[in-house]
Amino acid sequence: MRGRGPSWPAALALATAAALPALAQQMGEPARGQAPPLHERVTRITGPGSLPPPGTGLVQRGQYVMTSGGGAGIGGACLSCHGVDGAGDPGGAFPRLAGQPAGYLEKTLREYADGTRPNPVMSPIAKALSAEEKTAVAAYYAAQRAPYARPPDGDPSLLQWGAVLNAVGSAERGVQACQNCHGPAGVGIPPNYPALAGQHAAYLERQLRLWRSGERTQQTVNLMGTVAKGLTDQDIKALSLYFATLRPAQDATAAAAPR
Amino acid sequence: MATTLRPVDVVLVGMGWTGGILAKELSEAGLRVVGLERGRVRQTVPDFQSPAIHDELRYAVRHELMQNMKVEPITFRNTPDQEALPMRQLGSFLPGTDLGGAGVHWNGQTWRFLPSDFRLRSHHEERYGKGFIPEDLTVQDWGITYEELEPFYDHFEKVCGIGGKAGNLNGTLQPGGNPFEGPRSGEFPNPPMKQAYSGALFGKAAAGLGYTPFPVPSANMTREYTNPYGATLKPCNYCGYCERFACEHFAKSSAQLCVLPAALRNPNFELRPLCHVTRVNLSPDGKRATGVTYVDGQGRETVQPAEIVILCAFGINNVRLMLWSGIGQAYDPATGQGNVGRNYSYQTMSSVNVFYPEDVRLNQFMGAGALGTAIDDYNGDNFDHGPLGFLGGGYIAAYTTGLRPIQGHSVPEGTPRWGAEWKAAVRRHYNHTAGISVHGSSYTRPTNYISLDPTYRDAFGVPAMRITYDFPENDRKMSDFVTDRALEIGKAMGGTQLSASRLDKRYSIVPYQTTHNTGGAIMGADPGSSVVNRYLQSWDVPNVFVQGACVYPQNPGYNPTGTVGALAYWTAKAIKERYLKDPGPLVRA
Repeated sequence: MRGRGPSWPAALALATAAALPALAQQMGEPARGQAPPLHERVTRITGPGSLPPPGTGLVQRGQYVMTSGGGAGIGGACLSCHGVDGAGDPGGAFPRLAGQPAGYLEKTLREYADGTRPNPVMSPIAKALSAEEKTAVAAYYAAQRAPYARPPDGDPSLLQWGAVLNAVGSAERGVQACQNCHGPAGVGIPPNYPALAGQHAAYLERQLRLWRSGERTQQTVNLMGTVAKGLTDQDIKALSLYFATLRPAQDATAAAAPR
Repeated sequence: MATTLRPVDVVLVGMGWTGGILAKELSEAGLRVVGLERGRVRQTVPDFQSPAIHDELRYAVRHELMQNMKVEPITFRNTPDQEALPMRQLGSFLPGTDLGGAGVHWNGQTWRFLPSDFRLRSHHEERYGKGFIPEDLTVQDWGITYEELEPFYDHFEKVCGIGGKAGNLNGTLQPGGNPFEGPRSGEFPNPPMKQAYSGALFGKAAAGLGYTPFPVPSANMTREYTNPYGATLKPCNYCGYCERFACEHFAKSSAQLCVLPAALRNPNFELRPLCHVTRVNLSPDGKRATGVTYVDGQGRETVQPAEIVILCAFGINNVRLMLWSGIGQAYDPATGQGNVGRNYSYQTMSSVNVFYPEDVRLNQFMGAGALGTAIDDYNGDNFDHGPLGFLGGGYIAAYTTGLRPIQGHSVPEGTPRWGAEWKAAVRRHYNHTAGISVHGSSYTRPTNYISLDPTYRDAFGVPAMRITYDFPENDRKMSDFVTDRALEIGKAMGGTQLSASRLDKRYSIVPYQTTHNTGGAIMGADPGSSVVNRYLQSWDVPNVFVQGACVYPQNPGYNPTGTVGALAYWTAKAIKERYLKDPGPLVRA
């Protein structure tokens, strides 16, 4: 099913965006600025209460987790960093979630919770979410569309090199083509392979470095680790720029979300 | 007028697994080697890249990686009293073409044969008495033992980076592996694949019935792996496109990934693509090969003289080339004379489907060619055949090779073949059906053989290969018995409905079954009943060696590639250490 993003008052969206830096620094702190505290604003809209009962649409239940934090409490409300529509933030700390495969988002939350993907901000939030809340909020963001602002092309030769690596990799260095797993033009292949098209360059760059250093890994077969260790700094910059300049293909991925 | 080139030491006809192995081994021994490939050169990059390589219509349905029946037709009949007709498209089996051969589009299931398989006739006579083997079964011993071949199996598995769990290390049984396998000198080079959900359900049910499930040995990489020649393979991502496809991930062992890089580094080796060999040339007395004639990519007929000719094409194509070139005497089923073409055999494939309720989601679109859980309790002579009245057996496995959109749609018996009801059934069962395969042996009988077709010729004017084949009664009894065991396991797997697919009334060339064609140039200890000796050297023309599953005297209940690879290394060693010192027959007749 596909849920369109709720019609939030514009003022709320702006106030939410203002809260981003505070949350990035320290989870659980009330948002600063002139707007009322975040939990108050959320409660005004959603009303108090627990996860809507089973039978309610999964996306609607995910929307509740997104606004209230579900079991993680208001400090863990996803919208405060990732936005209501999952657009994330070009700064690199908050990836774009809109249209990602639900299976991938859910698995990522599990990996934050079990420590496979250590992250001081996301791990406590993911630990506090129940399995059902993880499923629901993953479905919510998988179903979102978010505006996409194409970043400047930057160095054309860098952009072109990123495109080459995506299409054919670098066999002599043991780097597989990105599109063999992530699909043509970074559309992602549900349920496992995230979309890369339109993802923020700074986020991609940071993640590729984490894969390369081994700080980010996978429990089953460490596919990305073996690919990333063949990448140079220049490759990482090129790939990050290339994928950030591709328009997200949300229709392709969200429609294929499981369940 | 044919152009004659400068002589070389060795000419290899066909550049798949065996051509690649021999190219590497013999060029390293200092021989000047030319590898002739009828098709194109192709490599992971750029030829096997996604998304084009997952085009199911192009590769799985229209067979783009396989032998073109319009260029090289095969004719078929069930029995010698019928007229064979040419296949207009491939069906039952899929020989590969282009560099790497069928070793590019294989699944990667890499088994060893049982010790008793190599001594099939002796073993059964010893265990059950002389009269046990039915008279119409022309089964025989290989002239080589498992123990002799073991180091070569071991080496081939290391070259490929096979993932698995040993069941028998130097005679000591190992938990988690196949307890029936012959003793291994070492553990697999890589761990087994992560077992799929349907495999886990199968394993649990099989163990509950007292069998011993284990992971199928796999050439789909389970981790990053560097082989003894320094070639690095990458981990498999379980994308589900092995069989009929090439791997874009560097994750499925093939000649171009595992052995050709080492061969091509050696200046003694030259790879010559688009060279279609039409004949092995013999000396006037027919006792010595002088080289081969081929048609090159520009249609020029060319003669390549060579001291040694090694046939490395898809097994049964080697047989055809021998028949056409006059290497050895063609088999005649009417008189029983001659051996070339005799003991052609196949594989008995049957299956069981287990249909589950909709809350059991098997997600079999995430798979790999050799991702399977198997039992070997009913293979070969692992069980008492005394009261059963047949020979042979097969392994039973739940494979998750991938569930592709065009060809992956199992529906229960009684479902209409088309229309709205069929579509509804496909939707209902797509993600909720587990398949169990019975991979059975096929033994030989006098009327199953390969010959040259008297009517049809290929694009080069060479008579087409004619296959005459039907399953012997023995194989039908065996297949029914083992399929019944698979049904019992299926029942224990807890689905709501079962269906079994058994052998057709007559073997049909149309539906795909398996690309495990064997025999026609069989190996043995006696020149009176075999085409090549135990070193795969022609009895009649000793500077011709023959590779591939065409040397199997009959077909055991396993996939053939592990033994094809082991025998290639076995041949290479015999040539390097013995033949080069004293060219001539390695076994005195």
